[in-house]
Amino acid sequence: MIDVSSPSVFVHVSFWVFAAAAVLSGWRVFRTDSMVRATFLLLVSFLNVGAILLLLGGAYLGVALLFMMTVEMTVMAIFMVAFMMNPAGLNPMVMVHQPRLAAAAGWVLFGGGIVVAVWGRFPDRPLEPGRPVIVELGTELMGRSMLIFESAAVALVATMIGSVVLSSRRSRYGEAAGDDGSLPPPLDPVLGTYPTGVVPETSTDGGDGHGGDGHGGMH
Amino acid sequence: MAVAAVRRLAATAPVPVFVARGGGTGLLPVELAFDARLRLVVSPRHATVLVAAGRFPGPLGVAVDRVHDQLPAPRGTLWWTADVDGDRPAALRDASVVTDADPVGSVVALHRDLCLGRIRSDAAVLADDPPNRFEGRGDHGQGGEGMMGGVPWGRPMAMTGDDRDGLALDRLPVVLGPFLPGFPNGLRVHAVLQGDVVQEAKLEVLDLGSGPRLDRLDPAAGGAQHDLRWLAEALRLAGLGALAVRAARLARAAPAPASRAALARLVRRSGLPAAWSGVGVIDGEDARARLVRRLDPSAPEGRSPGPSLERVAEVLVGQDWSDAVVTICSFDLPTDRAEAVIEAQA
Amino acid sequence: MTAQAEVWAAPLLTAGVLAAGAYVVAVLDAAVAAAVSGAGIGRSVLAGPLRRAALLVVQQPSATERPDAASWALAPALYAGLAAAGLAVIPWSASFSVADVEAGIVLWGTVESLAIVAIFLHGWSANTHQSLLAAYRFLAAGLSYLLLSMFVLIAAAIPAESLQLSRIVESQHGLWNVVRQPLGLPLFAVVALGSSTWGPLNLADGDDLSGGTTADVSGRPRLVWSGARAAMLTSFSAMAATVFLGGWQGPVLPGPAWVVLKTLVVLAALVASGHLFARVRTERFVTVCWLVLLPLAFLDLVIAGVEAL
Repeated sequence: MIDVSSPSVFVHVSFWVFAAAAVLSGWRVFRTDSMVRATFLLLVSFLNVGAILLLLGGAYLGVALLFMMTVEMTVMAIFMVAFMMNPAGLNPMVMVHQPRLAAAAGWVLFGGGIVVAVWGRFPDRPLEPGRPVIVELGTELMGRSMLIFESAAVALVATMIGSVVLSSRRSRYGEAAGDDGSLPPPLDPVLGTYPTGVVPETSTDGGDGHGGDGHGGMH
Repeated sequence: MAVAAVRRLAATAPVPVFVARGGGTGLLPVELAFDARLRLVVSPRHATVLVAAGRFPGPLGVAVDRVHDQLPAPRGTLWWTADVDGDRPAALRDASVVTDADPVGSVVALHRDLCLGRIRSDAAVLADDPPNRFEGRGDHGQGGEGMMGGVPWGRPMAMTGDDRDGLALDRLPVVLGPFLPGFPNGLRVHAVLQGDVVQEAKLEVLDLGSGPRLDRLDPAAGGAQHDLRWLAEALRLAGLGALAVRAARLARAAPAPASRAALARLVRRSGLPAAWSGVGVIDGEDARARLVRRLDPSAPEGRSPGPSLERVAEVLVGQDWSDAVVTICSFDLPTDRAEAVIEAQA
Repeated sequence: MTAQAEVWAAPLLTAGVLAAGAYVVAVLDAAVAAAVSGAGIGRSVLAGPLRRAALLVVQQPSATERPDAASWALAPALYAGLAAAGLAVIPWSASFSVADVEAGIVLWGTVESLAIVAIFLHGWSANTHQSLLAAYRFLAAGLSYLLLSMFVLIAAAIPAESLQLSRIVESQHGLWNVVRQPLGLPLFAVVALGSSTWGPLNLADGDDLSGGTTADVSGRPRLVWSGARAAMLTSFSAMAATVFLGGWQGPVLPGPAWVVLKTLVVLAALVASGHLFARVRTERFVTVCWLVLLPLAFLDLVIAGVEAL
C-alpha cells in the first residue's frame, strides 16, 4: 500500500501530522478534567502512533494497534463510569497524582528517549515491496515467540472475563439480587450484616447531592 | 427555494408527538400510535407537537412547563382535556384546546402550520437559568466535597457512598419522571444509581387532581381494552413499535378473539416473555407472569390496583435501571391508570 | 480508471453506497413495520424516510446543559466515518475494491471497536442521565459481543490463508462459508445488530430510556446519527455477504450486482428481526454472550482449523 523504500511528500507530511497529534493528545490526557476524556485522549494518542506504524509499512502491527488500544480504552471507560458516574465530565477532576514526582520521572524518561533518538544507531533496511510481512510476522509469533505471546493472550482474556464477572450484578449481589434483595456477607452474624461488623452511623443530611430537582431527566 | 421545498416536505411527515399524560387519562394516548399520520415519540426532543393530555395541577404543571421547553423549534402545544376550566400551567396558556375524543386532526394541522411558518413556534415559558447556582464550595466550586458531589448548575453529581455490596463507590442521585415512557401517570422516581444499578429508590405520585376523565373505557370491554392499551405501552418499551401499533389498533374497538390470539402469538415468539422472566418479583409473580396474564383473552378481566409504591421501590433496589423501568411498567400501580379500570368495572 | 480519477471516485462511491443503503434500510424498516402492525404496506413507505429527514433538517438542534460539546458533535461524524471505512474494504468484484488492504479483517475489527467508542461518547457527552445509562449498558454489551466477531472472522480467514477480503471471497469458490462454517453468519449477525444498535440489540437508543443516547438529540445531529446507524447496518450486511455468502461470486450477473443482492438479503433479515424480536436485557445478553455464544464462536474457529488441517 505504501512504498516504504522511497516515501513521498505525502508520507512525510502525514508522519509529522500524526506525530504532533500523538504528542498533543498525550499531553492533554494530563491536563483534561474528566476520566473518560482522559481515557479517550489517550486512545487518540495511540491511534496516531498506530497510523505512524502504518506509514512505516507495518500493515498488520499498525491496524492491530488501532484495534487493541480501542478495546483496551473501552474497558477503561466502562470502569470509569462504574466508579465515577460523571456524565460529560461535568464534575471537574484533577487527572494527576504526585505531579512533581511524575513530572521529574517524565523528564528523565524523555531525556533518555532523546538520547536514544539522537545518538542511537538505527537500522536502515527499507522493506522491499511485495515482501509478505504479515506471513513472516505470523511465523514469528507462532514459532519462536509463541510461549510469550500465548501467555500474554491468555492473561488478557482472563482479565477481560474477570472484569465482566466482577461488574455483573449477580456476582456483586448474589443469586438473590433483585428478588429479595441481598446484603453483604456478615463477618460476625451476631453483630449484624456489615462487613466490618460495625453498624455505620446513618447520615442524616439530605445533602447537596439530592437537590436540583432533576432538571435533566424530566420528560 | 430549496429551503421552502424542504419545509413543504417536512410538513407532510408523520407528526412526531410527545404526549405528557396528566390526571384522568389512564393509558389513553397510546391509541394515537394507531394513526399513520402521527408518530408517538419517547423524548420531547424528538417532537414538534406536545400533546398535554388531562389535568395538570401544581407540580405536574411545573413538569409540563419543563417538558414544553425541551421541544426543539418549530414546536407547538395542544391541550387535550375534558375540563377546560382546570389548572392551566404556563406552557398551556396559549395552547389550542381540544376537547373531543380525537385530537389527530388538530395535531396534523398544527404541525403543518408550524413547518410552513404560518404560525410562530412556541416561545419558552421558563427562564433559561440553571436551577442551582454554581456554589463556589468544593475544590472546583461545584458545591460538593473535594472533587466530588455537589449540584453544579442544577445537576446532582456523583458522590462516594456505601453500596449494597459493602463497597464505597460513586453514587449518582437522579430524579426521573413524571412523563417517562411506560411510567404510570404522575410517577416520579428518586433513585440513587451506582453504574446503572439502583442503590436506593423512592417512588412518588404527583397530584393528579380530580374531575371528568378523558379515557372512558367501554364498560363491556373495559378490562380487555385496558389490557390491550397496557400491552401497546409495554411492547413499545420493549422495542416492538410495530406490534405496539397492532395492539393499539385492537384497543380501539372490542377486538375479535382471533385477532387477540394472533397478537399474543407474535408477542410470545418475540421472546419478550422470556426476557421479562425473573424481573420485578412481588408475591411470587414476575413481570413475565403479568405480561402473559394480559396476553390471554380468556383470563378474567379487570383487576385490583397493583402493590403499594413502597413495595415496588423495595424491589427496584439492586436492579439495573432498564429492569427497574420494566418492573414499574408491568404493574397497574395505584395511580390514575388503575382508576380507569375500577371505574369501568363499577 | 486512471489513478487520479480513482482518488476521487473511491470516497464518492463509498458515500453514495452508504447514503443509498441508509435510505433502503429506512424503506425496508417502514415496510416491515407496516406489515407487522397490520396497517398494510402503502406508497408512504417510499416517501416517508425523505419526509422525516426533511423534518430533521428543519428542526432546531437541541442544547443540553454543559455537554462535552466537542465529543457530542464529533461522535455521529466518527460513527458515519467508521461505516464508510468498513465499507471501503469490501471487494466489489475480482478486480475492484476501494481499499483491499492486506489486513482487511483486522481493519474491520478496528471499525467495530471504534464504533463502540463512538456510540458510548454519543451518550456520555450529552450530560443527561438517560443517555449516560444507555451508553453504559451498551458498553457492557459491546465488550461482550466484540470477541465473537474476531473469532468468526478469523475462522473465515483460515481457509483463505489470508486476512485480505478478496482472498477470503476467492476461498469460497464452490463452497460458501455459510455452509462450511454454519455458526459464523448467525454469530456475525449478532455483532451487526449490536454495532448498529439495532432491533433486539438496540441497547444504546432504546425507547425504554427515552431514546437512549438520542434522548436529547434533535435536528440535523439526529439525522446524521440515524443515517449513520443505518449506514453501519449496511456496511455490516455487505461484510456478511462478502465473508459468508461468497461476495461477488455468482452466475450470469456481474460481481457488484451479486454483492448488492446478497447485501440486501442480509439487510432485510436484520431489519425484520428488529420488529419481530424484543430487546434483550443487558444482564441476560452479557451472560449468554460469555457462556453460550463465545464458546460457539470458539467452536466455529476449531471447526475451521480442523478443516484446514
